[in-house]
Amino acid sequence: MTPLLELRNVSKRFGGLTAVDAVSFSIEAGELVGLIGPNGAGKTTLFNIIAGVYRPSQGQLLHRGDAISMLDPARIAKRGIARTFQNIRLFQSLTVLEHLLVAQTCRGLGLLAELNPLVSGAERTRRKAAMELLELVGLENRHDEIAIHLPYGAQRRLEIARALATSPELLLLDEPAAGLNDTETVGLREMLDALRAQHYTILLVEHDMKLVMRVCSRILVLEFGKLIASGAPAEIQVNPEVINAYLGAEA
Amino acid sequence: MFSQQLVNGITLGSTYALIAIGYTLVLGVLKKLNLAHGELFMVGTFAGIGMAAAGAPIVVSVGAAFLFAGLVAVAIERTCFYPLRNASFLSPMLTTIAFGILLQNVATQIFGSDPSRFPDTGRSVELHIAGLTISALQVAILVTAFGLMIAIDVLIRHTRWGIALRATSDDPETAAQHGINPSRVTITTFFVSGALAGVAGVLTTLVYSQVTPLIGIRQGLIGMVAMVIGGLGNLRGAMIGGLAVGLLETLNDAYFNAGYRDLVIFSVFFAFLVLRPEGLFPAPGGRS
Repeated sequence: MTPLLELRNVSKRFGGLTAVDAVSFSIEAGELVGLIGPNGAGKTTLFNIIAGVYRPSQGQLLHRGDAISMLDPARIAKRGIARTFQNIRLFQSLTVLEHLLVAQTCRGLGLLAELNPLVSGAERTRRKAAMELLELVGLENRHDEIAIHLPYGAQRRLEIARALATSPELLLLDEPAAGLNDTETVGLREMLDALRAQHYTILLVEHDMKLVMRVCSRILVLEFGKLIASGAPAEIQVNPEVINAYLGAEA
Repeated sequence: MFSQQLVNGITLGSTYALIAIGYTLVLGVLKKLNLAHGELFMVGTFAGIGMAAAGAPIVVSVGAAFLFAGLVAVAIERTCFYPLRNASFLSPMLTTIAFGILLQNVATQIFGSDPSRFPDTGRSVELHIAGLTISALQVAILVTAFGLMIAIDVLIRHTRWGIALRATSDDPETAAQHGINPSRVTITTFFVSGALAGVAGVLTTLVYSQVTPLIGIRQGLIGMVAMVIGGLGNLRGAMIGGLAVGLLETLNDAYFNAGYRDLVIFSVFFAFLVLRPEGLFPAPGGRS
């Protein structure tokens, strides 16, 4: 079967610095894959390459077998690849609900559906779907607030809901647990389990090892832009190279 | 009579507001000024006069101005802004000056540099309400201009196009990563911006009778004054700013001296820029 996402020998150089160095891996539909590595290992750069923000200096990206390395970010999003940001990037003048309404235009009905009486039924369904996503992340009672006024944990949840509103099949989550307290992290874990049960495919960058080991079926390890290991959590935990590069540094 | 001057001022000001809205919309998505914006007013006016000269009713003139000025605005975006999107922010702005002068000269070749006007539309019906004299034309202008202002306000606040426009204004990269094509938002924004300026041109010319191909220079600057007074980047501010400048102009002419009109308006503009650059209603969230 064709993998949902495949990277073949992907590199990204910034001047003399090689941020991502000949990385190859693939993700099958329905997997929840962890991507770990020390700070500066190139995880966010890799996300930016997949999301179309950066063109790879070399290598191929394939989505369901189609080459997507040359597509712009809007087209990548329309193909069903959505992301969240390590540094939260909400729209400063938009309300909570508006974040989802705008993301929903990614696929399906266009920007002026509200004015088109022919699609008013579909439009109502879509608004209802947006409210349901807010319920999923526990923000339904704050839908009218300006999003950047929400507390930090709620902003992280809204970013996930916004990504889901694009109707993605692949979710790229960039450190969703960063800055969350223990209760919020448990909530996040439950949400990840729920998303997995709904057959979302997820690539998760995260520093919270307990979370990663618990929810991921497979883990990729990056160090200095290179993929140094790939395997089940139990294998990764005992992989000497990984322990040396990453886990060992903390022990 | 003061209340009569208020009505006249609001009528004039509503056309200035339509110009100011266009600047504000473009400034929102691109953080740049379209310095050929005044020429869109001119282009719309002449499109309207052209239709009227061919015997079309005023409604058709207004429609033609809307469409034609909107399309010229899209042409400005595609030639002056899009190819220069990675250049210094000055390059597209200077390019729009050149484009504007080009439009002035094309219009001069077609319509001549003598004042043009709408063919005589016949004696306008006058309404007398509570001691005020309002021509039917004035009512039509008020209805059209305020109708467009309300429509644009509703579009921006309540449709996904409006939300996409605000999202793109806030953070174009994040918007793009959620499937919003920044080019499409920019093009539609320019179209609306030009269309409103074009309609403003026809409405203004119907009342103030004559225009030359250079009319866009002053109207463009007046729109900028309205935007700055209202509050840079604030759509409703631009509307209020337009009305304020229209009132200022009318009251100046009625109670002071029409010869000092632009001296007064641009003194106020200067004072705002120096003393209160954020305008009367600063954009929420410090957006500019």
